[in-house]
Amino acid sequence: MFYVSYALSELRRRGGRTFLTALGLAVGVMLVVMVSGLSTGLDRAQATVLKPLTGVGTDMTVTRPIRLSTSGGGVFGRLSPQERNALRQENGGGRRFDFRNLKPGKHFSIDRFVATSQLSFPGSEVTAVGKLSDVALAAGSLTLTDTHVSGTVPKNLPQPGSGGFGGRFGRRFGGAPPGGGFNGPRSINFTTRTVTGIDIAHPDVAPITAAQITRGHGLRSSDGAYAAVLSTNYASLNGLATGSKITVDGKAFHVVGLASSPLGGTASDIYVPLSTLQSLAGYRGRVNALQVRATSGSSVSSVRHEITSSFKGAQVTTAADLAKRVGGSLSTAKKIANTLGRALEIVGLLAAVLIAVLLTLSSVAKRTREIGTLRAIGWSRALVVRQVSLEVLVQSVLGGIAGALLGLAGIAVFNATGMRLQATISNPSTATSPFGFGRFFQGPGTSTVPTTVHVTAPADLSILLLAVLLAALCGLIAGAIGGLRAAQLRPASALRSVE
Amino acid sequence: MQTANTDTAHESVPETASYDLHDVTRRFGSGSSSVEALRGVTLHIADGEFVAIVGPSGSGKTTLLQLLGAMDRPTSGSIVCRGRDLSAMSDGNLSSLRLTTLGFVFQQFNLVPTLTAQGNVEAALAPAHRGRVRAESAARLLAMVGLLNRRSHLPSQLSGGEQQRVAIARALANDPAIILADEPTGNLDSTTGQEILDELRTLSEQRGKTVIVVTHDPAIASSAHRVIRIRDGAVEE
Repeated sequence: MFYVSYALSELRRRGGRTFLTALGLAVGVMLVVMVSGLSTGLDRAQATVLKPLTGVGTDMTVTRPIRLSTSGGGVFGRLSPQERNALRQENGGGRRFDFRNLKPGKHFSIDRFVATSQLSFPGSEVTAVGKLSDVALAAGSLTLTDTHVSGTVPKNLPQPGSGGFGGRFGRRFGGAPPGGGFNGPRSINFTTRTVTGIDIAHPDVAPITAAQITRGHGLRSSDGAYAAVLSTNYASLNGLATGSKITVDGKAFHVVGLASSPLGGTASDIYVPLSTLQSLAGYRGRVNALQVRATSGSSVSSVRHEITSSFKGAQVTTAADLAKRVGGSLSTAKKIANTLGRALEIVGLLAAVLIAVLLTLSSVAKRTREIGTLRAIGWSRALVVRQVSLEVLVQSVLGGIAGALLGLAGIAVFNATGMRLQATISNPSTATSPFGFGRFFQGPGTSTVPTTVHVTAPADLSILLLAVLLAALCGLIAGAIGGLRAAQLRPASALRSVE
Repeated sequence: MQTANTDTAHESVPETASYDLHDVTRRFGSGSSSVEALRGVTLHIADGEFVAIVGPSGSGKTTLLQLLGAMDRPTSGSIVCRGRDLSAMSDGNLSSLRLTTLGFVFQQFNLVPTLTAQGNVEAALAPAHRGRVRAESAARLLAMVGLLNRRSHLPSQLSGGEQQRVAIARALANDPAIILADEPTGNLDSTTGQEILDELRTLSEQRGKTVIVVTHDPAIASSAHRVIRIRDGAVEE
């Protein structure tokens, strides 16, 4: 107790230096607490963002991206003739708007469905994947871009040859993006929207999950074949709500729910039962995405390997892949926290140690006579080092506690600002279709749907304790250096010094 | 100057000798700028002696006292304190010797300013005694020098004489055989100086302690059993 009360009395006597040393360490500790809190907050924000994919049991999504060579090489060349023909048919060959039978003055409304960045594959692949070992559940889905054209055929439009209005319009539509000279009538409305058909028998691994439903409910078999869930954005833009009707390819769908857009998943405008979309779009028995749940987290890697080995052209995206592709301000903030934040922590702590060492050395220099006296009355070098270290340790712990409290206050201020960051997941499979649709038909699909997330920095008790321990360690280092310096002098030399 | 053979010195020193110095030299600095503070000092101080070391300023008195107090090491020669050759001892053993065998009283009192009178005495007891024993010993020592009622005062709240009595209590903390005092009355008025002198004489005469005092004070010199005169680093006894 004597040593502690001696240390405290010395700290009180040199209040200014004690305050400065404690303040230096407090700033260092505050930086550690805040940066760690922010970093954890950003990690949790990212986990929240990815939860729609990772939290409901879907471990991976299997697609067949358009990365095929028009020359017939690559994966496309290895497909069966039947499969190649099916893909050609659904991506352009023969799938044109047919305006040939339209007469001037006649109103028309036509929907055309095409796969955009994902090629379709037979539903048998879903069954095959479902039978793989370590696969708990597999369900297919189909996402298509619905191009809706409506309007009235102009009465004075010339109809040369057999193509007429339909031929000219249709050729241009089927071959290249508009804007390069199309002089069509202004009375024609042209809109695109994405529609996803989901397997309502397997809602747990559907592209849209119950967690994303913000109004109404998800698709159920009891809702019938013509029920739809709309994305909140699409519903808002078109003034739709639950209970509304929406027409797709001339069929009226009853809106049963609204859903928020998932990050990295299929962010479609409209969700309908899979079989209904397959029937409307002429994709019977085909899907272009497959959601898979592995039996355990550890088997994800082996399942991925099995799928890519057995499924030609398949691209398997796991939650880990998605995490790597997170972009936007959330990603930027995470990078800053991981680099600049860590650098700040290290620089802050080093500066704190340096301040503590310098002030301790300065303090020891001013106490040379006192330390010489202690040595003269029998204190050993080790005892002097211990006493100086104890003094610095006490002020370091005080600084550490102050720093932890400042860090908590900083975190509270940060949380009070309600910082919101955006996250996006870039889609690596945004290649142009080899069949001529190109980017013109690339709808909002599965690419970069931003998600806004509220970042909250947690106050982790273990980080607070670690920070105080770090401060104590800094104090011990500074105390040991100062104490050794103090104990180095012979008592006679110390006593000769003038304070 | 030759360094004395420690074994020989050891054998030649009777058990009752507090000190035996043989041809002790202390030089500060090196080369042409070096200063020889002590030159070939040979001394024998018996247990229980009250010795005054006198001499003009800069003659080497304090340097000699610091060598006797194991606070410094001689450049050459040997110092044997109660049968132990100081030049052969480690720093830790010298600390231990200072703690158990030697007590110091300084001209400037050298009390720790942040500690009370009690705390200053406890500082000397702390390395060897714990808790209640330490506190009781410190209180007893302060009572012995008549300062028990001032035990909780800081040095800044004590007079010069009181501070020096606290320093004496501290010097006696571990019941040392030898008391070394450097100008103990130098900063005191004559009345208080006389009181301190009486304290030191009592320690020597009634408690059998060896008291070695460096002083300019003729009163102390005349009270001592023996006066060692030192001039230009050499002893003129």
